[in-house]
Amino acid sequence: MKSKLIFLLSLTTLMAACRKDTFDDLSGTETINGIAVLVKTFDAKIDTVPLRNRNIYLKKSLTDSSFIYSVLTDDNGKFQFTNVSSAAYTLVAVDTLTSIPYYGSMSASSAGTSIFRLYPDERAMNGLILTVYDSLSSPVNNATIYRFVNKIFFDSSFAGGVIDSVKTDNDGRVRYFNLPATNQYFIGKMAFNNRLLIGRKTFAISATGVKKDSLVLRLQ
Amino acid sequence: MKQLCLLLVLLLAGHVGFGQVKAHFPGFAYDVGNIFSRRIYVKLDGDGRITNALPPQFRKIDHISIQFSPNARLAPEADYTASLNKRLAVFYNLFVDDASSQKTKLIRSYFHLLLNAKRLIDQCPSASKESEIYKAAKLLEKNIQDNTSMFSPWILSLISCSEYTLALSDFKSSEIERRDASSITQSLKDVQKKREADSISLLGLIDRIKNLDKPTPQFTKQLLDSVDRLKTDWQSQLNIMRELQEKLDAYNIATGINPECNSELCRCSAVEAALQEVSSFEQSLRDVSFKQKLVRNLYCCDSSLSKYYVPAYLSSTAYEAPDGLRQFSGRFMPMLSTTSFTAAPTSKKNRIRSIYDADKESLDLQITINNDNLTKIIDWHNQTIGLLNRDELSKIKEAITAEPDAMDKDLQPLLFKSAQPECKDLPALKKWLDKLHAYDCYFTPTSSIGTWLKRWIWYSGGDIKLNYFDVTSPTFVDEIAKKEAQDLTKEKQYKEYMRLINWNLWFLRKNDSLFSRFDFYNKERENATDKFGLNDPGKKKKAELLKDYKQFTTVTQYIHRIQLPLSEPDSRNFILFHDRNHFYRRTITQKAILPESFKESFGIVNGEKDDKIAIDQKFSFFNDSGTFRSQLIATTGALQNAATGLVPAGLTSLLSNFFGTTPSAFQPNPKTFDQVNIQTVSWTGESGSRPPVLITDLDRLRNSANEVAALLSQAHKAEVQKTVDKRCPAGNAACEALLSELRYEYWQFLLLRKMLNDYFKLPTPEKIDLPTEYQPKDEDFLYNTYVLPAEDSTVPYTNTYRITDESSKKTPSRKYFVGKERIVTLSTGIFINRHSARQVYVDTAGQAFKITNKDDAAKFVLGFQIHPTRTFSADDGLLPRFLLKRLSLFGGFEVLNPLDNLYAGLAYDVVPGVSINYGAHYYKYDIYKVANGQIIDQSSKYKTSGSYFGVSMDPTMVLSLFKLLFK
Repeated sequence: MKSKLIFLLSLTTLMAACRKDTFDDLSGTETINGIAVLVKTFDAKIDTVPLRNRNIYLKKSLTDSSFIYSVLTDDNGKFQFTNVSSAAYTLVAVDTLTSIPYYGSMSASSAGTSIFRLYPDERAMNGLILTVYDSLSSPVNNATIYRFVNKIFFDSSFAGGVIDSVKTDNDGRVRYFNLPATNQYFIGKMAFNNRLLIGRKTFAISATGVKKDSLVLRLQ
Repeated sequence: MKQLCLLLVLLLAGHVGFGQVKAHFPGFAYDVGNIFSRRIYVKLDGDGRITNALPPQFRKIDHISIQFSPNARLAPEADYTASLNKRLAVFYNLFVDDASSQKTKLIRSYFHLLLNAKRLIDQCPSASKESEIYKAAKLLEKNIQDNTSMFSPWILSLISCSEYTLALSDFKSSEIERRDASSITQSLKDVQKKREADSISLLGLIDRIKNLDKPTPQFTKQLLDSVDRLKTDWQSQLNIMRELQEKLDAYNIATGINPECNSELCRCSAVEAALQEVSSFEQSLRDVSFKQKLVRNLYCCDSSLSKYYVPAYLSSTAYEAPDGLRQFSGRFMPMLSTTSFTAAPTSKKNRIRSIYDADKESLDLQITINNDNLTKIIDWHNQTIGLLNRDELSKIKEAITAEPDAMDKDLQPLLFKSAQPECKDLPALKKWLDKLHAYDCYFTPTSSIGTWLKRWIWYSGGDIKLNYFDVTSPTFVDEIAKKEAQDLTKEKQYKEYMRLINWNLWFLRKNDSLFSRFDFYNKERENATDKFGLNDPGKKKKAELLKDYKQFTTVTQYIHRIQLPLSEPDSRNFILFHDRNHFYRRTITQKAILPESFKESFGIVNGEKDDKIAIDQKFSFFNDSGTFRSQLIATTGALQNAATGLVPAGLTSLLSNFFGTTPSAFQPNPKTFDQVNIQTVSWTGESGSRPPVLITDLDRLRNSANEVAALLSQAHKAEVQKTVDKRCPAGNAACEALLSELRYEYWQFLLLRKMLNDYFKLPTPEKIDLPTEYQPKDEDFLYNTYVLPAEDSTVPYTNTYRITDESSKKTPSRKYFVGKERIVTLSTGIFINRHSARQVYVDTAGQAFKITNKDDAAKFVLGFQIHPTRTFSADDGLLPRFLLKRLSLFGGFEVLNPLDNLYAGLAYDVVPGVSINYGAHYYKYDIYKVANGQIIDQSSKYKTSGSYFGVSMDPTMVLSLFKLLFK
């Protein structure tokens, strides 16, 4: 009887020892620290700003459909994940700034403090960055760009058909984001010294992706 | 862990081994109360009483040791036999083998007495200095001083010249020893003087310490060191003084000088006693000389018969026997009576019987002694009694009785007075000598009567006699009793009767009435009739004679019977032994605190057969929670007092509670030295310098007496040699020879007369039957060691008992305590796990997880101690009496989160209520499955962090501490 009891106890102990945990997500002793920033690559000058009060998502891998849990960044963009293991994790974050969606992902571990950068997410937007040149290939600043979506109006330069008009910046560029995924028609005009420089061009805008192109103004 | 395990094993091993060691030291064995003794060791004193402490618990006895003390007499009967044997040895030495040396010792003692008598006379002006004793002593003193060869005829009438020479040289050495006493006295005075000086310093020093104002610790230490050293010196001086005083007392006793007898009146009174003693010793000395001569005459022609004459040989009659220790296996030999023991003091066979009763679970050890000498004597008696010719003896007695009284009148002064008859009176004395020669035939071996006497004569009790035993057999008892009745005439009866009644009436005279007096007369008449045997005058005498006969012919003596219950592991008998020989003193001097599983009983050691023991028992409550526990609670009170501002007093009280006494280093107790009423301060050193050691030459003083004695001893040897070389003086040889012969002949005549008178007064037993073997009863033994069960009460209890014996002597009341044994106790304390045990807590109440990690090693734990051998709180010493009872299994949990941390392991009670713990720590660990910021699954399991250790206490003690801290 006694030996049987000992055998039974031993077996139970062995089985208990062999049992493997199926999950244990918060059991780690490591911490991931980082600062999340938005990198504004569409501006004339690339600039970074802290990602404020936004969630940073912790994922086991980038391909995971779900994240584990998230933390909020503070006003300086700082964030911290605790109870993570020493394995590599993936951090994911998104934001929208001035209608431009930003997205960032990176592998992270507990070693040191990482800079987590978010870039404009061209997969979630479309756009057109148009640089206006003169016939000598010099950028033309302060030129007015008229956008049409109707070809008839565009062909007839019907003022009533202008969707919007913007002026080129000092580098001769205009930026359009989240345009309808159709053909977009642009007319550029620049008047100086009683002379008028005009250029016309049609762009096929797809649903995603930011297109960079140019428009040449020529003297009439 | 490994070290702990090793320690545990060692402790357990030591625990087992400890009891075995203790068993070798029986006085200490009861310290380990749960260890049974498998050995019984009994040490008997000279009377057969047990002198050692018996262990309180016995198991199956597998070893018995019995030790007899040297010079054991073992019983009054044995005492008689021992004395007899001693005298037989002296007898043998004096007359057969080595007469000179034995006799020299006797003469030396005589010289001491003589010289002391002379000294006393010198100090008493009114004492006569014309006595023969004084003259003899004065001459002896002169001989010692001058080393001359002038001998006193007085002394030479007692002994021979050569004997005198030998004895004188021997005596001189003792005189030198006597002179050493003066040097010892001087040493004693020196030490006393030093001791006084030390006392002054010591008192001064103590006084100084008492009056010191805030001394530095270093200075205080120096002062205390000085006190310790002085105390040590003081004590050593006391020891030396005692030693010297004992030596001096021994000298004074040996020389008969009473140092306190300084007045003339006292010394003159002592003269009479001293002269009486000298006279008495002269008689003894002469008696010995004559006995010597008698025996030599008896053996002159047939030395081979000497073996019949002295029934005990020298080798077997040595009185002082060495220690006898007998050891043998006890349990598996149900009967050990076949083992005889040869180292007995008085006889060759001590019979030790051990009966192990398997049914009664008891040991019955019986110690009996077979008096082998007495057996031999009885055997000899039985063989030779047939040769006794009573008719012949009767005729001799008649002839002796018919001698004229003038003989005694003329000759007794020769033997019993110091005055020497003039030689001119010799013709008259010579006539008596011729007459006395007629009785020589009875002591002449060549005659038939002489041969018979030689075989029949006995030397017993210091006398030469015909009846060795001084008793008569039952055969003659009736006859003697009748004679006794005839002697007790009616007149005598009446006188005795009236005397008794008158004596008793004296007490009734004050408040007496006629009726009560009449009633009293009647009662007393009955009493007197019984008391004086008036109805049957011979009855009392008959009983006395039969009792004597039985006493003197008892060969086997039943000395001691020891009956003890044995213990089994599940039935533990704990015996509190009480020694009847020491007023029922309990052999366990420690406080007897016993667990409830013990079965207590009272052991009576050295009980005697007529004892009637009564034990009164009273029960009261016993607080068995242990001293430490109660003192801790008391101490918290002391601490509270300390906190109120009485810091020194509180601290002292605290220390006192912990250590039992107030630390004496701070308050030396001057009462220890209050015997010395000297207040002078002799030491003024402020800086702590030590005073000079006052006694540096104690050893030299101690050895001085021995050195002087050794030197004198060397000188003495030369003196002795000179004395021995001196020739004996010439005197009136014819006169001295005649007187010497006459003295002896008359002594021989008196001896014969006395032997015959004694013989016919109490007829010699015809034949003495040796008793057959039988199973002795308790009352046959001189001493019994037995056990009486104690009553029980509701545990815990104190049993206050008092033993009363038949003489209504009440012993002091004593106590023993019985405490509860508990299987489960509560315990709480701080436990520390040695390795990390991190626990994760997730708070999902907010927008994001709030994760908390908890990894504190120390935790406040409450749990249960399970004591497999049942704990015994009343065993409150730091050194456990019951080690196994201190060990327990512990299971507990953290107080704040009971399910989060569990503890399982072993605990050891350092003192009851305070444990140290070691074991395995288990903690609850939550596992989370997290997805998209939500806990989608959660489970828990217990993990072990490894080992823990901790200290735990009884919750009541902890509560007491909490109360103190948060009050």
